[in-house]
Amino acid sequence: MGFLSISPIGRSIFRGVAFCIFFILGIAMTSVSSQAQKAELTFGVSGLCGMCESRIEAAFDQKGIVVADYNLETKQIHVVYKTKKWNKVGLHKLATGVGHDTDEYRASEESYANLHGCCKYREHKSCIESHPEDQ
Amino acid sequence: MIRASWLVACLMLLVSVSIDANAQKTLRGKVFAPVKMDGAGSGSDTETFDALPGASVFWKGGEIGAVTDAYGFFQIDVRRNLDTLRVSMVGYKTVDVLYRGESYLDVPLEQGVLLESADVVFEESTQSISLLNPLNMQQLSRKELCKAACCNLSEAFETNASVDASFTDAVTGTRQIHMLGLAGKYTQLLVDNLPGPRGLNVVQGMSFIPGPWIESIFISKGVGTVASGYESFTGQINVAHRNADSAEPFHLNLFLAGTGRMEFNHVSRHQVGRRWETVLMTHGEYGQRVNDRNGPDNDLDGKRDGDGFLDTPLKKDGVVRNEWRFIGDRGLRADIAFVGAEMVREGGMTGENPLWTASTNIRRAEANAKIGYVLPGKEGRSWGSQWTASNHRHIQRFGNRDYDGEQKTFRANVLRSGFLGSDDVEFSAGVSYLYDDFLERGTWGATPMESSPSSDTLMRTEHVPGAFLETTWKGNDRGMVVAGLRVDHHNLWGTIFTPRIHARWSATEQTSLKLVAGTGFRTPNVLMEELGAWASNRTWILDGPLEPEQGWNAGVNVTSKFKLFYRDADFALDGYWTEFQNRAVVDFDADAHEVRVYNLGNREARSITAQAELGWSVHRRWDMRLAYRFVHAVTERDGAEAAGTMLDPYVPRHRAFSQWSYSSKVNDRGANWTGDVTLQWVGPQRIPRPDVLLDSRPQSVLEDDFVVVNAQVSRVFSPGIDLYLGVENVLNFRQGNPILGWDLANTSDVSTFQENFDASLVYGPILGRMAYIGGRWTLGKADKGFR
Repeated sequence: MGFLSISPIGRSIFRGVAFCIFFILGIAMTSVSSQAQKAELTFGVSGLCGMCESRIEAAFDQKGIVVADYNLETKQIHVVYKTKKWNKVGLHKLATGVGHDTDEYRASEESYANLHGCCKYREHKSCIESHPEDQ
Repeated sequence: MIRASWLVACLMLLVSVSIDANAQKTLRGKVFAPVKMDGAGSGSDTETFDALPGASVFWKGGEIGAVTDAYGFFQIDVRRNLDTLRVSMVGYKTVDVLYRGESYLDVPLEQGVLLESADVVFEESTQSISLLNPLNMQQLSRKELCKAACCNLSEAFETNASVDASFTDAVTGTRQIHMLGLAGKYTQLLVDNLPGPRGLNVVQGMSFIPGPWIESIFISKGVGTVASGYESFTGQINVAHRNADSAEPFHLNLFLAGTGRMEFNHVSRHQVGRRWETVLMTHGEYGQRVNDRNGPDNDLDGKRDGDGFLDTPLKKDGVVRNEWRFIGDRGLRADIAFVGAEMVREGGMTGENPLWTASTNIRRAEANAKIGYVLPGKEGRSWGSQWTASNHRHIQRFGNRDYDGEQKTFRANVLRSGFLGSDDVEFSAGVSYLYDDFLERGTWGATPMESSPSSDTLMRTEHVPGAFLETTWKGNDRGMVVAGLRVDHHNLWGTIFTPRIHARWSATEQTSLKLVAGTGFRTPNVLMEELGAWASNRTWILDGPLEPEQGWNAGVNVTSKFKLFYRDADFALDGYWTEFQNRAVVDFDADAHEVRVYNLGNREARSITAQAELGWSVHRRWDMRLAYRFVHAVTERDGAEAAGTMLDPYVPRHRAFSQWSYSSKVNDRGANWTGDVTLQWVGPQRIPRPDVLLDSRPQSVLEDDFVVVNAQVSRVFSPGIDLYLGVENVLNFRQGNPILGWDLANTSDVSTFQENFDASLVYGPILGRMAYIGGRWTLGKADKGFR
């Protein structure tokens, strides 16, 4: 199998390495740029269905919010945000702004009224909670 | 749209009222949503159920319906002709429940993605790998396919790191795929789980599957499952067409490329009666513009003169597919599809009285059916059958050489699935029969100068009855094993045993290890598998009767999902080894004017690959994918000594790939922008050396590596209407001088041209930068009732 060895391909290997470095640099820059002061916060937000989840997460699609992940099972949202741009009250207000109560603030009647029929958690919740033994 | 659905509703009402209106008994039930709760402090999960008030319950195809009460209960009259209960609620996945005569039914609904009048939609990953499936299977969704021009299946892998697509030659515009360092013929292509392009259709068949018809593509590396046959070595690609579940009522796609290529695609779904639904798909492709932009690599200003040969052939293609779905009583289901395709391609030299031209005409007709019956009682037990019949005719003339091939295929597969003893062991067993009749006539053995060459014929009829058993063991949360064995009796080659095993072990919830090992078997049809060789002066030398190709493949894969800087990321690492016991070796190295095909015999051929892939959601709007792949593919061929290497030609050892995707915020009207850039670095590879008189480089020199960049921007104006604009090969890399001996055509020495002309030595892009524009128009929503 002596003829398996190939003539030098230094130039192309150089290009390949350059290609990889370019991307590693890209990733490194992204991570450096995200070195700004960050904090995490988890709080309760009322929600019923997948539509609520999408709506809530869309409301947190803002500059300065790195991640917003709403968990429908625990009714909790986990937010990673830049402290320069956001504070706790501001984050709670993002949820109430689209009609969802949080564990500390209540959404206004107008914004709640805008919710889709199936997402009216205030009514549905009371309906289900009043008959827990049926479940 | 509304009017149409009214019409259908009225029609259904009329039909159902006239058929049967006797209420016999009443079905009661409850609709609820299972909710997992973290047991506070205890660490254990408990499941509770939320009753769903206001869910709608109705017989599919019937006029009666009910709504659940405040506690989730419903009551509905049973009708004799109706057996499928559809339960839906906004915010939950609609389910169809098969009714088998129960008096009480519990219907759990999952929180879902199908939202009526939804203003928000879940973001789904467009390329995904399951951590639970023991097969290393990657799913490409329709959204992923929309990231590139993707006019047909052969172009659909541009945004994928595992599958390479390259041109077979510089004349016909045909692309073929490579997987794990081996040609696409070693990958089994399935279409809706039925055998797809194979035999004489193995290369060209991919262009009969237009991108807009595809719902998703499943790519699994390593040998596939035994249920679909013995033909896969390196992988299995299953293409799922849009069907009665996934197709929208109407979808139209128009495409125009800078080369003058025009495409039309349409998919529409129609309800025909209560039990039948049909999906009609059409595809037309037309390109009659003469493009001649590539040529000698000697201009300093970057512009190249043409070489007198068309870069892309003139084409007229048409494909029609019509699928019918039947939902019968008590568990009977059927999918029946008819496909007709015609392809006309003209390539070669331009001008009057061209010295060399190439024309191809393919006609194909196919009918297939899947008929299944779900057994009453426990879920997961069923009978199924698959039937395929096709006729494929391929006629071509390349220079002075003709080819006329015909393949008739019939395949039947009957399978039964259920449980062996406990619920932990599933099985699927079946019997199959495959009939393949090949008749190939032509003048491939002729030398380029013969004016009336004598005719060659290849004939073969295969009858292959077989049986298989596949068991799936999932007795453990952490592990799962799929073991299969099939035994086939080939009328020409005797009994074939095909053992295959797939296993998965989850090291953690987010990391899984997968193993695969098994054997493959296939009978070669080299004349159509090596289409590129026709576009040259090479004379075919078929040495002895070709024995079937046999080999084994084994591989390992580790996939892990994790968070990188708070955002989702996944990483996959895999290695595969394919070793041949026999191979139809296609040798371009032994002689620059011949393509020799012979049995591997007791020599060695193998391919070893390794791949690393990282996907990361960099930012709310940005996704990134980075991959590197290494291939070591060698064959001990006659010409290896002459070529100075055993490395397979046209297989770059290194390939790196990167894709960046951007998606803007969706506004109130559902409009947004998306953008995708794909960069590919293809490492050095070797091509068979042409005649020393024309090429002074030493034998073992590798061709230069190159970078290809594709970019696309698309604008969704509102859900259902979008426009896309893209550029392929942005850096305008073209292989220099793709057609060897083109310059000899203009001299008076015709015989020198004919003896040296070679357009098959293609390793890189032959078209330069190409812009394209396209639009999609969709009416209505898919009816994803059956999942």
